[in-house]
Amino acid sequence: MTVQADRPAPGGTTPPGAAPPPRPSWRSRLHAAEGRAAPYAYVAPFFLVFAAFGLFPLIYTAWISLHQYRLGSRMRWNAGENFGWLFTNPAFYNALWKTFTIGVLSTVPQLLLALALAHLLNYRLRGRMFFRITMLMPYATSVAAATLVFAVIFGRDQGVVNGLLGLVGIAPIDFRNGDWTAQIAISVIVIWHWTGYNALIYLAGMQSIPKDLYEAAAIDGANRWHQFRHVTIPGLRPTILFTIVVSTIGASQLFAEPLLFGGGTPNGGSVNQYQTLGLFMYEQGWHYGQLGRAAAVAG
Amino acid sequence: MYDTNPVIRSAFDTAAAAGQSGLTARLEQFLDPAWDQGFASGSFATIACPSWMIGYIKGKAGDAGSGQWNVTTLPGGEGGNWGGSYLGIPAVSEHKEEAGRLIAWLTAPEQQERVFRQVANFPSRTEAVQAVSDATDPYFNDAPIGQIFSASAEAAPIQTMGPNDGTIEEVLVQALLSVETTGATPQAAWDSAVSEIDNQIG
Repeated sequence: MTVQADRPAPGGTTPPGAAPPPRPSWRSRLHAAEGRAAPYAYVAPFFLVFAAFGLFPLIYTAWISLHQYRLGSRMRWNAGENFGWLFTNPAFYNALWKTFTIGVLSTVPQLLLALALAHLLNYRLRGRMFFRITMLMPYATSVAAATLVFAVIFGRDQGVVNGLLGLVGIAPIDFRNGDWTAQIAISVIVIWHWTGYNALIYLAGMQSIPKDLYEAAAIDGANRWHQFRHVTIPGLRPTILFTIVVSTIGASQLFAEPLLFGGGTPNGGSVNQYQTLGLFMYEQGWHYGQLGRAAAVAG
Repeated sequence: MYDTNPVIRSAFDTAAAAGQSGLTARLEQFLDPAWDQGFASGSFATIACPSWMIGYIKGKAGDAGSGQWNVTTLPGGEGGNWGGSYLGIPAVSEHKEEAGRLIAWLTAPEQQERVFRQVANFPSRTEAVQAVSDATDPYFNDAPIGQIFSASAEAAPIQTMGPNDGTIEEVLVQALLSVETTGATPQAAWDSAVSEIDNQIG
């Protein structure tokens, strides 16, 4: 730290027997204090904002989760009752499971697709820039708008998907009322939204892989698939790990897509077939007004 | 209370039987986009609805639907009440006087009559109910909507709402939807609804 250079030398370094050093003037003492305090002042804004909007909500949510707290009434201490309710509630385990299945259904195809797209875009293509920008368009679209459009696309009677399936002789599917079909429809929205983003991250990772590795592989007789399999994938390992972590966090927080796909109610379909944990928490808190239970879900 | 009330159980079973026998369109109302489209494309034949949905039907079915719809009473001349609006003044309001006068004006019989004739929101004042008894609607083949909805309002039972009313209604409706869309038996749907309500309000 450069700041330390500004500090006066510690007293212990004074040689024994020497006259005590003259008292530092108030000006230099002020200067020293500033040198010690300044770094804290510089980092303070972040920590203040974090305390107000990160730490405090976290602790307060934990506090609320130990109370019975209905919307519009007072908090009443009930110790671990909310957690007892939660862990014996089949609806909670349903939401946990649906969060997992929708997460797998959306994350796995999304990352594979992104990898394939990035691989294609890594070639010298005509209009490469155009394709790269196009891929980012879904990411720039609002989730709400996209979901509303997809809800119509997956409509039973006039939806585009059923129209196309009808062309090849498949009977219309009632996407929103089916168990897996609703989850697949929601996963498609997520995939559509995030694939381009992940593809761009992969593309950036691919371009940092040295070209001579490919040349060496080609000399050894590796075809394009072998190059992809044995040069690109190992070179991308840290990038892939990053996207898996980010997508998994995103999947566990899935909320807007299932909410709006259901038309705005948080029950996740007639048998809660697409109720994620986020929806379950929202339903408890704002639909049934059970803020204490919702806080327990959040915990 | 709801789980021992025979009226509720029989209403549930009637609705579930309709869903089970394929008489329903399997479209969740207001929430499934195909439900709105259904008004225009005619994917369902009838809808049990309150008077205020007259305006909703007109809006969704559009001009093309004019003359294609009609209004009649519920089977057996039953009456009912499905929602409405409440007007209130917040305690912290800065203009309580004016708000009170506005509410008095809005709920005066003349205004309620005009609203009913325009968009069919049924009046709450008895004077206004009498005033609209001759109302008909050309969109619905000149159905005597004034008469029909007045009779329905008179036959409607007095409803007492408890604090958990909304939760119970919601879970029961969801259970009915599960009979309709997933082929659950009415008994199984009822049982799971009861356990979910117990879980939620207990």
